[in-house]
Amino acid sequence: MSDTDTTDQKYLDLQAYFDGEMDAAERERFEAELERDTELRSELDDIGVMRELVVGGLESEAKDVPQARFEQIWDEIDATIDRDARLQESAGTRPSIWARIMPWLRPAALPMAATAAAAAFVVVVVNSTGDPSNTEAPVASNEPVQAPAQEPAPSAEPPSQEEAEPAPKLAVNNPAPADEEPVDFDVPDSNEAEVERIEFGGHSGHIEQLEGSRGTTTVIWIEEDDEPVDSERSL
Amino acid sequence: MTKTRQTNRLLSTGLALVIAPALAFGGTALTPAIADAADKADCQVTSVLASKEKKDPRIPKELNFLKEQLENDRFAAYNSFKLLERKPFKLTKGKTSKGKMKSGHEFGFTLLGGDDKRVKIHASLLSKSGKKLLDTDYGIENNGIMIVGGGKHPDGKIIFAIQCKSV
Amino acid sequence: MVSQDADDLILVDAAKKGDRRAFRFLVQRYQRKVYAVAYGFLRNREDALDVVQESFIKVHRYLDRFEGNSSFYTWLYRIVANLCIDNLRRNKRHRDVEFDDALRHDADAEAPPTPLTNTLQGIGDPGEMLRRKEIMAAFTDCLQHLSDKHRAVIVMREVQGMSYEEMAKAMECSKGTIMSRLFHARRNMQKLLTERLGSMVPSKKDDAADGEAVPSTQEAVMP
Repeated sequence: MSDTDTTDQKYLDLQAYFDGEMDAAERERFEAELERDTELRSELDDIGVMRELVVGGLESEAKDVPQARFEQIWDEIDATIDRDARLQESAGTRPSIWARIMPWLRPAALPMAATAAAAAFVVVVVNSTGDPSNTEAPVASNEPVQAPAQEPAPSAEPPSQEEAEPAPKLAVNNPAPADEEPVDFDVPDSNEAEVERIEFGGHSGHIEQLEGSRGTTTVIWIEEDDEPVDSERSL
Repeated sequence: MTKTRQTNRLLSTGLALVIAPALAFGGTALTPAIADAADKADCQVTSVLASKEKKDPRIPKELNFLKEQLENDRFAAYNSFKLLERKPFKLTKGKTSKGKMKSGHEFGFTLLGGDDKRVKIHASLLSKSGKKLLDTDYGIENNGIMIVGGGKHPDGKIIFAIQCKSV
Repeated sequence: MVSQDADDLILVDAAKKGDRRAFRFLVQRYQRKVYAVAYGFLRNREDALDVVQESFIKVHRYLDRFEGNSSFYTWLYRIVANLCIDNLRRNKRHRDVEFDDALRHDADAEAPPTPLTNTLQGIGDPGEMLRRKEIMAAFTDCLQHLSDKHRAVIVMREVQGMSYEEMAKAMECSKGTIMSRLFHARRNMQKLLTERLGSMVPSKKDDAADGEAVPSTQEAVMP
């Protein structure tokens, strides 16, 4: 082993030591080495100094950024969160008909219990093709129609995405494919399983127990080999 | 094994109410009231794709119920997990309920027995081409999670989480 | 109502429930730290600020998936590191000059660099030095001259405190590669700093009684 190799290895160890990547035994051994080797100690000091410089330097740079810039950034974040929320409302779950009408009703103090008026209003909303401000056309006589026209443009987003169809199906990115209703399970008290009998197909498999906060979970590992005839993919 | 089959036969004949009190399997005594609860069970297989592709977060919200297991060292080789499918199976004592997952794997479940706290299940797994991969009988508490791992998938490996509960 | 000093996890919980103010407190708490990290990676104020914005937006989008098993800032830092690495990869294609190990030290040919501490001692006591703008400028300069990958591992290790394993995941390489990269990065940095700061040591200059440095004529060419 050349001197350089030893130096490199020592430095790698030093690094691991400094970065807290050694286990207790390794640490002990290395600390003994450190006591003997002054050069190694000075190298350690150097890495320490560099860390302070890096951290200090970057923090100092960060201090130089005017607070106003961060305020600007917050405004952008705030606006984006609002936008995300609006998109979620209209695209995500199927909103009830009242949820869809709500943005329109906000300025008008319509008592929801006023079924007659509300029902008429419902008819207006569902049949309209545009945003709230265009509802004068279909039913002009309905008072509530005035209210939506006052709505500021941004909130016209949710209603305008709906045509007469009952369910706006913008949810192309559903997180879980909901072909069938998923079953709800409670959090189990224990996953302990008693395997009474087990057969693996052809090739081997094995059972493992994973330790957890509530006992063990059984994992059955199967070996599913590539079937050369069927497989279209090369490894 | 024979015990189990006996239970099947005996209970399915409706003699359960008469003879159940006398039967005791591994500590699970079937009394008339409880025997009714062991006639049906709801199971669900959650298939999870474990891949080495890096994604953030590693364990998405919908897989929270498996978080502890997926964070076990055993799965440390995988950088991300994705929910592929959740498929329910409705079990009736003695009848086998089969279903094919989107990955092509076919599960078969039979409710062997149980009470209002536990279920005994026979589970079988076939590969896409119909080859037998696994055949097992096991007992587990309601809602308990049993994991079957190592299913083939082009982007990694599939981990199946099986949960059942008597209804 | 959550207070501004509330624990991270309390703020996160409130934010999950829609408390915008709580989320803002989180942003305010970490924005400069995130900026510091991003600047370390990208060496450019505007790019770094973009990353600050993107990071917190991403955090908010994924808030539901954070369960509190790791600390919030660990999770946040991981997001920041990934965004920065993506950014570097994207920009690599557009950049003409790649600061790739510009001052590659040759471990075989040269002796280990002069101990940094000796050099710095010539300038002033370590505590004082951190406040010196010149030294900071020197440091930033040196940062510019490291390669993307070297800078990345230094920032991840020193500023974010990521483990070798976490860094390996972020950079999609092996732990061994990380260790080697870190080794070379630190060596390079040591060399750069010693050279840069060496010129500031009073004993080497007639007029630098208090360590005032004549700014180096090196130009950090910004991509």
